[in-house]
Amino acid sequence: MTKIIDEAEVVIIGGGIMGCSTAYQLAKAGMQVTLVERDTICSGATARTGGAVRQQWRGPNELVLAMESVKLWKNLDEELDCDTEYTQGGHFFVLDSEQEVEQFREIHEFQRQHGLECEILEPSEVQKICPILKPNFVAVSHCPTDGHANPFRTTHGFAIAAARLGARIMTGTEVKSIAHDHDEIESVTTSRGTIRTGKIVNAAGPWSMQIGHVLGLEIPVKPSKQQQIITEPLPPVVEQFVTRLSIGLYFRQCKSGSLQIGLHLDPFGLWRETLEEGYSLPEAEAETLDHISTFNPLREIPKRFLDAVTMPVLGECSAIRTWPGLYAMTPDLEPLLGEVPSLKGFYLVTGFSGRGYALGPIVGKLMAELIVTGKTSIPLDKLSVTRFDSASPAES
Amino acid sequence: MDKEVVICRCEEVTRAQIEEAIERGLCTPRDIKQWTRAGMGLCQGCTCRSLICQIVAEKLALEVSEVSPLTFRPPVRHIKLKELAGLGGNDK
Repeated sequence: MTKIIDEAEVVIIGGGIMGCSTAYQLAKAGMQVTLVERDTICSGATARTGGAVRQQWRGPNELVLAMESVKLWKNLDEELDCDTEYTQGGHFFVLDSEQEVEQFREIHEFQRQHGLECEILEPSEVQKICPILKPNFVAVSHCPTDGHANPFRTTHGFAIAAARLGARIMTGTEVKSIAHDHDEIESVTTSRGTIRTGKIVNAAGPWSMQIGHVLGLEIPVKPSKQQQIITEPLPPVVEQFVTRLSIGLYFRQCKSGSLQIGLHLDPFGLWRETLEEGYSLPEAEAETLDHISTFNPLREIPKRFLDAVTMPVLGECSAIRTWPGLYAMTPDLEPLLGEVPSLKGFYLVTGFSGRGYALGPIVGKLMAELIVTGKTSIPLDKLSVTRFDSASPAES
Repeated sequence: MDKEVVICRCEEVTRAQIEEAIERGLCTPRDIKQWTRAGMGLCQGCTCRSLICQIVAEKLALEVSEVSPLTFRPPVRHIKLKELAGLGGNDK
């Protein structure tokens, strides 16, 4: 056993939005919490997200979480004493077929039952409020209370506020092993030494299955790649977060004025294919973030973007940076939240399948409730890992 | 060095702002960039990346070689969207 460097009531693994939000809420509740992060705060999946704070187009379990999260987002700047650049400019799903419109009409009905108002807009109506969109679509699904924010500012904001409340944030600290006596956690050993603890939160996103492997636990999460481009700053051209599922494109204009444009290769379809083939993960691809070599997303992003917008002058604006990012996909695209029944004190906060960022504030709050009181103000049992068979008990 | 000197010209970030970030506990150039936008602008840190490393080293009593610099990512020089899309310009 390596040197004992710390003792904590809870150790959180992962310095993304989920880990930092949970650390903040636990520290606020008076728990002694240490967060370990292999790299720096906000260096993995959260650093590469599109930044959407979206409620529409979610399953029943997530919809409730997203709506509660938006309530927290509204006061987050004040709570964290940090400008998260949160804006409620609306979210457009650009729909390219009557079939898609019909699907969204059904989704709206279901969302309305939960109190979320959305509308279907005709191209002529869209033109009035978002002239940048070329009217080459059938309709748009609009949720006016959706929006976006700055992932860096949000995540660091949570980490700084957590530290202010006494949380210990250890970056450059990689988890090597986890010790448990039968079904109870005892300690976590990192590259910098051992931390004694009774509770561990696995918030390692697309790398959370690797943390599971340390324990001999199969966590049903698989990474899926997306690619993004950011442009030089422009005057305001679009207020909404825009998603076009039929071509995998999404974009927003950041507070700085830059357009952030992303593309994913139908991660949902990709996942199902892989699932049918058996459960083999391309580990090497997860490491290098190099996914499908026959595809050239850096060329496809501006091509698809320029085809979707009215202003040819946008072709003249420059891309200044590009990066790939990973989603943490689960087989049913819903997250894994809660304690692993076979291992007391081991909690999962992962598998958000590309839709987690918006949920960060509420999930941190609920995880803190669960860890401190054993109960949550919104039921999370349907998001337990027990819904899959693959979460096999740890061998002690 | 003068506190009000601009370190990142693209995003107009001063030395004082970078020092304030370090005092908040943001201790690598990547943390500082994400918090202050220093190095996030048009030139992607071409000018300020080494200055940020120097300030971090100075404030945290490290050697400059111990500070991880900002990562480079494509494109090396900025490129118009239409060129990247292969729709003209210098694409050929």
